[in-house]
Amino acid sequence: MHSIFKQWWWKIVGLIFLTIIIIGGLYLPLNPGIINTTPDTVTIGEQVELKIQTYNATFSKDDNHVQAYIKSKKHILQADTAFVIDANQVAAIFTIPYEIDSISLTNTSFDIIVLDEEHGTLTQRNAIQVQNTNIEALDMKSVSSAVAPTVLKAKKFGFPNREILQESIRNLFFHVPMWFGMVFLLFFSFISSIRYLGKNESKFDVYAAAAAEGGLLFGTLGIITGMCWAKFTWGAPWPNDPKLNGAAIAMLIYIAYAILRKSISDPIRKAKVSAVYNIFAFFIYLAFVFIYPRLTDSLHPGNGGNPAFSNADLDNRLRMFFYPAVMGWSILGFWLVSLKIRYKFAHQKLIEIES
Amino acid sequence: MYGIASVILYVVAIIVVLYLSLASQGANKNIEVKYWNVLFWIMLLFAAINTIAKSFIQENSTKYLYYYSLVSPLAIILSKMIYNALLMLSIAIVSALLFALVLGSPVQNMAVYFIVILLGALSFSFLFTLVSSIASKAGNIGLTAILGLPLIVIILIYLMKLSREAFFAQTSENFIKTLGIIILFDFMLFMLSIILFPYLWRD
Repeated sequence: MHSIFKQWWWKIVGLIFLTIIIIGGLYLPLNPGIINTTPDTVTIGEQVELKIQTYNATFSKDDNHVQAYIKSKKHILQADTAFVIDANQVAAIFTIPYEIDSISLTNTSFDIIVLDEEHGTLTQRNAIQVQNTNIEALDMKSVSSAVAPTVLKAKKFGFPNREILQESIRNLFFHVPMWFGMVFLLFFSFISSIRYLGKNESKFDVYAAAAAEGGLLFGTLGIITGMCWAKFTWGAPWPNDPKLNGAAIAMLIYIAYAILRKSISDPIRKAKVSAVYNIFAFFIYLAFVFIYPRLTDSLHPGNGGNPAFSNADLDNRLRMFFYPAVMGWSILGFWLVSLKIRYKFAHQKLIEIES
Repeated sequence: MYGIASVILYVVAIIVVLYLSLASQGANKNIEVKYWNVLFWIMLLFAAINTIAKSFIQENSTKYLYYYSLVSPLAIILSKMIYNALLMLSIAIVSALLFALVLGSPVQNMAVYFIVILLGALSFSFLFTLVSSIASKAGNIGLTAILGLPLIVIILIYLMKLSREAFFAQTSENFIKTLGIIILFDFMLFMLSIILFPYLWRD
């Protein structure tokens, strides 16, 4: 293990990954998306012109292949006409039929879909509400179904434009890898503590202490990046979310570990006692990270019916950067820990020489 | 015997403080079930920390040396854990009775409540016995709370969740699942304690 720490090749690999994700992850554009649609309520039986504000799009006025749809769970309706106003604005004229949804005629929300060949399919979920103010209209039947458009992908490369995430989707390459890094470092710390108890070699104690400090650093960074992200998407830096609370308590566990180490002066006793606590704590930490979030619904992806980490959300364009980001940040973490370990060994030698 | 009496007095004192505080706010009768539950478990938690933290400090070092030559560490930790579990169980029963006396009792299903209290006593005992032995090796009894509190939180939350089941005549479908998780936790804590304690003992 120690010889690997001194080698340089894996640090170069980590630096390459980090360069790719910092430059690529921050510089590459987002796919076009819809920001808002006005008006946001329409009444059945009326003809309306919807103005659709887009983001990062490059529509041109000559383009007459733009199509617009509104879509509920049951129905899809194509615009009578759709035309480009400027590069980021599209207008569409809809005639809302009387019978728009056979179950609930009042206040049905509709997604809006705009597509052309170059930009792909742009969607805003629940963009407009369809009102039914005219009760007599219930009897009247009107054709309301069009053929669902095939989902097109944008021709240019870009990260997915999700509604509440928007540009902050790039935080995926910074926030999430911090937690991976923390788990890897704490696992390394745990293994080192086990090996210390097995072999009684002081170097394993140094490994365990340094890796726990590294894990704590990554946890702090994970919480900070997460708070920025939460402020943007959920509106508050600390929503009452089980993953947040679990992470905070996991941090407390390892701060307690650091305090325990500081409170013992005899090095052998310190190593032994803190190794026992570290092993004990790691199992509880695992419970916090992997069991506790399942206790209640979480705002985080993959829990409680959110935009999830499913295949739909973590698509290939994100994966191309996400996996290198996980590896790059974890390698950086181990690099930091290896420096800390070397510093601690040097410090020990210094004390031996002085005494 | 002196130890048990002091612990019981400690619990009674906490409940009196709790009762008088609530009474000063005019909230001593018909306290809401969820607050009753939280107060009960928080009180038990601090009673556990205070009681079990002492379990390795009370003996002096010459006595330790005598034990060391006489019995295996496994016997020591097992006996400590069983003793602490019984102690916690009796504290929990006494405090549940006192709570019922001064604040009223929302418990509908006595059998379920007893199971929850038993599991709680086991969890507190398994976790804090090892943590207090760690703290005593560090030479600082005050560390027990700092080291133990973050570790106990998740079990405490499950215990509170499970004890809500006892406030209704019928248990919900989550009952078995939560019960299973706590039993699994207790088993994990028990195994970790008996595996790790011998390393602390050989010193």
